[in-house]
Amino acid sequence: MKLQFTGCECVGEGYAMLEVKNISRSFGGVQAIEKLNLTLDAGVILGLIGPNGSGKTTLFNVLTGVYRVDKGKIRLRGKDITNSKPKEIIRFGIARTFQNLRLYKRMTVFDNVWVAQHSLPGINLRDLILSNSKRENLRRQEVQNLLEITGLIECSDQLAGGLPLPQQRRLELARALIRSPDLLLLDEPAGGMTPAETEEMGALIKKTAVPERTCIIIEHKMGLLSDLCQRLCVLNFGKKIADGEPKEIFKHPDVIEAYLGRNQFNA
Amino acid sequence: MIAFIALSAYLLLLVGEISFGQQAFFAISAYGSGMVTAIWSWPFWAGVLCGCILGGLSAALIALPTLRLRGLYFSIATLAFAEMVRLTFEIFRFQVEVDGEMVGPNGSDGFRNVRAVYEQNISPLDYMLIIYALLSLVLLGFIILERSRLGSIFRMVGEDPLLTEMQGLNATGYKLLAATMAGFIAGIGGALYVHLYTYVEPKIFDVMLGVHSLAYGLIGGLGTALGPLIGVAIDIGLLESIRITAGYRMIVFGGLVALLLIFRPRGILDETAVHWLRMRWRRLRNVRG
Repeated sequence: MKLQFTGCECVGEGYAMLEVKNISRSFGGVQAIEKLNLTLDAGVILGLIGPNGSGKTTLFNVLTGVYRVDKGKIRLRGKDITNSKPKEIIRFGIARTFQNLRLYKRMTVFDNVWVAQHSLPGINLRDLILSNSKRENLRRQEVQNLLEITGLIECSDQLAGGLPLPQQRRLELARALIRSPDLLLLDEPAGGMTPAETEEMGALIKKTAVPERTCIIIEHKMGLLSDLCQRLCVLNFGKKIADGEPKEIFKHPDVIEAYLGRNQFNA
Repeated sequence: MIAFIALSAYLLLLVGEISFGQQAFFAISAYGSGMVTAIWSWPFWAGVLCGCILGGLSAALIALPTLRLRGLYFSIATLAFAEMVRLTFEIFRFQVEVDGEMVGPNGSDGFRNVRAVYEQNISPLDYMLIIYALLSLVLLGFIILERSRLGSIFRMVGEDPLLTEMQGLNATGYKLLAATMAGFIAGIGGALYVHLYTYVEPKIFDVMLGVHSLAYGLIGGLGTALGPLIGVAIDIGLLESIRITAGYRMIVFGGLVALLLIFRPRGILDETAVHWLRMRWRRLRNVRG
């Protein structure tokens, strides 16, 4: 097995990007995730769907260390990251966006992306306190470039709290992308958007995708998912009920049942 | 000098914690620096430095356990700590004979004869300049801080600690850093205070000083370090100097705080106002350029 260095960590090449093994998590009597298995190779874009309360966002929260798992293991490129703290997770190369938007509303759009660089490797004490070196200017340029790509450059001086919703979602995406993560978790990137805005968002996700980056997208808009994802995974009551190519998934009887209910006549 | 303690409370407000206890570090520094200059006759500047370090250290020590608390509980803990410090100074006696006179803290009678400034021939004008120089230095520090990543981290922690953790930063660690810096700044104020008045007593450091310092930040605004200074100017400059409000100052002050909490919960110069001013300024410059 070959070993390679990315940043400060030693990672194996033969491993899958993300390996979720048999994880469970319950809240009181509610089993939010039950014995879930999921393996993702580098570069895969996975759509995660399921009815409300099926455990999609809980899975994201478990992956990013917000919740601990009761049982099971999570591995990122073979490295065990089960129950790591949120502040460690992002350094491992996992970045996410939030379903119910979590921005620093009292900061400008530019600052919201800029602050995500704080914990990148290579930021030293001088950058932290004075923030005026040449390297720092380059980093600011990176933020500008990303804002340009995500179409936020015109409003980069506005306070993030005053932006319309589609822009706020773009801003969350930009903030995750500035870390150039290996694993990108998007929680309803087109939630609450009109069809036209959804299409734009899809185009943006496509535009910013890189071949080796793995991406999981939670979304209810099937048009967006079938356009972006090679693979879909369906959750219901914390269990995986289907996993495969979009075409197969939509025909899968369990999926139809979960979304539409059992067909009384055929059953 | 009040400005220092106001700035100290402001720094903690930035990281989202409300401290009623900044006067404790003011007191610790006042006593500490007074003692080293009066009893062991250290030079004045060493006394100030010693006071600041004492303030910073004690703030760090107190912050370690209390920062595990959140919100209201943190406020109560700081309040209790400050009262503890004040009551300790009420019974703290440590007197040494210097030049035939008893010098040192003497319980609730206070701590007299801190004469370093007079003995070391620093004129009142010089002393005023020293105060303003230190204040501008601290302000300069704040201005640099506001533009730096560190300053934005403080604001991040204040706005959403969990999200800040998710950006890979240790929120509690940065809170601790902010608390230490705040203690240090309060320490500058305390050391300058004791040397100006040559006398301190525990009564000065009661809760009202802490409440006021907090209110200065909340009145002036949390958008910029100038906010707490505006708060100080409004209270001391305006209310104290206008004759009509003389006896009613505390009532007017309380009303002002109540009004501001309703209409501008984050002060006159809050983030939005500062942002608006900044944009205005940039536009003006562009028109001229």
